[in-house]
Amino acid sequence: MSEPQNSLLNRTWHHSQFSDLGRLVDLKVKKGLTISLAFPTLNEEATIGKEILIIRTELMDRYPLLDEIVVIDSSSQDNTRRVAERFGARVYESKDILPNQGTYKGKGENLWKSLFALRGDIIVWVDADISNIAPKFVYALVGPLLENDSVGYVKAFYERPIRSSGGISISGGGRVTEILVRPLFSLFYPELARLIQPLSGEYAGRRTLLEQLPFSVGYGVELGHLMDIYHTFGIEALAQVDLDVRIHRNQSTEALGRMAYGIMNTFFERARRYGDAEIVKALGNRHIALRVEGDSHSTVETEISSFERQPMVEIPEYRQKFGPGATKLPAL
Amino acid sequence: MAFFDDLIKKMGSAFRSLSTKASVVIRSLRQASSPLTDRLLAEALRLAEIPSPSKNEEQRVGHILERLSSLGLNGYVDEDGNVLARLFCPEASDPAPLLLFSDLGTRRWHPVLSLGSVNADSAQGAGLADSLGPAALLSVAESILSGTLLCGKNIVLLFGARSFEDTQNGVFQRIGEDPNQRPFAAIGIRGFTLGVLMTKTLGTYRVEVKVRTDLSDPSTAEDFSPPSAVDVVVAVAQKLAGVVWDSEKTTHCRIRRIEAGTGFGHDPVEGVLDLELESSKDQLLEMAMKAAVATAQTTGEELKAKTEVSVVGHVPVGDSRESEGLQNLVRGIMKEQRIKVVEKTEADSSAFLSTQGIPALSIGFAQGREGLEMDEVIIESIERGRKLLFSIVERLSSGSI
Repeated sequence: MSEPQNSLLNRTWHHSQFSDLGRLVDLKVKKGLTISLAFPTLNEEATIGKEILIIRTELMDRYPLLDEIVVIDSSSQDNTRRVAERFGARVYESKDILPNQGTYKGKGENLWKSLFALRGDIIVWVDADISNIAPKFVYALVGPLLENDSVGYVKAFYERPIRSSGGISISGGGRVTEILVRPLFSLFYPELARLIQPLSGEYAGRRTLLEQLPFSVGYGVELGHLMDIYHTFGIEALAQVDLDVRIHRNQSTEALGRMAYGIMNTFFERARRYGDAEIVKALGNRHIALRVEGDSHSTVETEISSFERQPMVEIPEYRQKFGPGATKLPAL
Repeated sequence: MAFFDDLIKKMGSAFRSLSTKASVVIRSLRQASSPLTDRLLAEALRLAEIPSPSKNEEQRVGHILERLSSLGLNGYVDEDGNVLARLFCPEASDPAPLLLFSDLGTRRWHPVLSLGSVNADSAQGAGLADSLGPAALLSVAESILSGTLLCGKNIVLLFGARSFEDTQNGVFQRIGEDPNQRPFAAIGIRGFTLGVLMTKTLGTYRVEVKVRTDLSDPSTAEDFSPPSAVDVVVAVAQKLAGVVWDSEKTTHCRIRRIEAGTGFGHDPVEGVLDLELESSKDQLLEMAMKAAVATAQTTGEELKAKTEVSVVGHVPVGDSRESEGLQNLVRGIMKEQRIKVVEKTEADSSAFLSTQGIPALSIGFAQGREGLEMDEVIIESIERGRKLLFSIVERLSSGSI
């Protein structure tokens, strides 16, 4: 295996390498950077309070590493927003951000809109369904960006035991990665196949890089980022950090099937755009699942949005707020 | 009359409206985040996730040492695995410290249910209440070092790696006998229940009875149907439950846990029974323990079960007279802070110190519900517990018992 293809493995670290929080704060101050954390949410009242509480007390109160914690909510029907506010996060409904741009359903939409709502130079996104949240989920993603100016985007990876009523099982996580994404990367982009968990929901990036990326509003947002960064900024901009273990809810095979459909859609669209594949016919526009009813089968067709948001830097309101001529942002 | 009726109605309506507004304001105040309370709760949630019980609670000890180190304190691990940390006060004229202690482990940890959660009003998690004590000790350390809590005496924090009742844990004996460590007073911190004050401590012996039956033993006679483990533990429990050994009824036996069998369709071949013997007199307690152990052993053997009886914990009766001044101080602070005082007589590990002439007592830190699987802690009560503890530390360190 040639050395360049393995370059990502040289930028693969363990979270313990960044556990000296005092040093990270010093680096942040020295470099004059601000750091924002956002949680995209949809009905996460069971876990969001603890996530905010643990991160805020350690990484804002004790060590001023983060400048803000924000929740971008997709109109949850439960108490997500109330609980998040109670524990000190600033809470937005996704639909209220950039209302002139309309609104779409999906995590990618929340992430894209968070670029407008957040103020930091470095942005960290963490999923809101983590049961074993700990400060390392944030500082370990920020650390490589503070220490290495050439790194622009950091992904988390971890063991993914599944939480169920019977206990914790130590395997079963990352099925879409191993069955779909890694084979696709192996075929098309072997350098990206070195990403241990390309679909992990925890990552951090520099605003200057993120604002130039288009965002798939749905399942393909993570994969789209990786392909775009690879083509636009090069593999050297990517790094990954081992967070040990992440415990979260299990997803049904049916839900994973829909996820795989969305991801594949994003993959082929990007591969076509970059001239790495040619799509010779119109692709189907619905995910089809089969349901067994007695002796017969019926189909369940689901429309999965493949809509993509243009790079945030192209949005006039954003340029006005963050562009070169923008008034200096108020202190966080 | 109609005018007065109308006036009364309007006043009633206005009062109801004000009352509703007041309750909203009070509720919002109660829910307002206090940085210290939030840190303490976050600490308790993280600690509760760490597996326990384990040999000397090594993982939890590791976490505490890391925390102390991040505060610039050196934790010392003693021969039983307990963690001790000393906070020096430059103004302290008397070298004798105030000892604050809490048990680090829990018997109710669960791999899933201990991954706690919080909502706007309460926190939930298996064994969560048991991690409030150690979290409170860390909060004291952090607050003293940051100047939030003023303290005029040296303070020693003790995180018990083994249960203090464990007969193998000699930490209190060593502390009491070491002239450099012997405290002038000691406060133990337990998760539940805020307001409870142990005015008289009882001595206790904790006895575990394990039984094993072999229902398929071919050597048993055809006409003998061996009893199941459920039958054996029930028989022992029936003989000992509620037994009283003295006329004042202060020496008695309580059944604390019965567990046997694995459910429907399975032969119950193993069982366990936890007994607690309590007394206000050491000699009677000793006698009761020996009697209970012998009864459990004999009953099991009579029913042809392999029976293992062991004393797993002991707390002496304690000398409540030594702690009267301390009790009065704490009672007074609770009243000042409008915490309802509930006086109780129970076994408490502070007795290890009062028997050595050291004023000592334990306080509950929060309110909530300790469940078989999940604890629910009222978040607002943690702030009240923290204020109580900090006031006690401040008053004691200003030299007044």
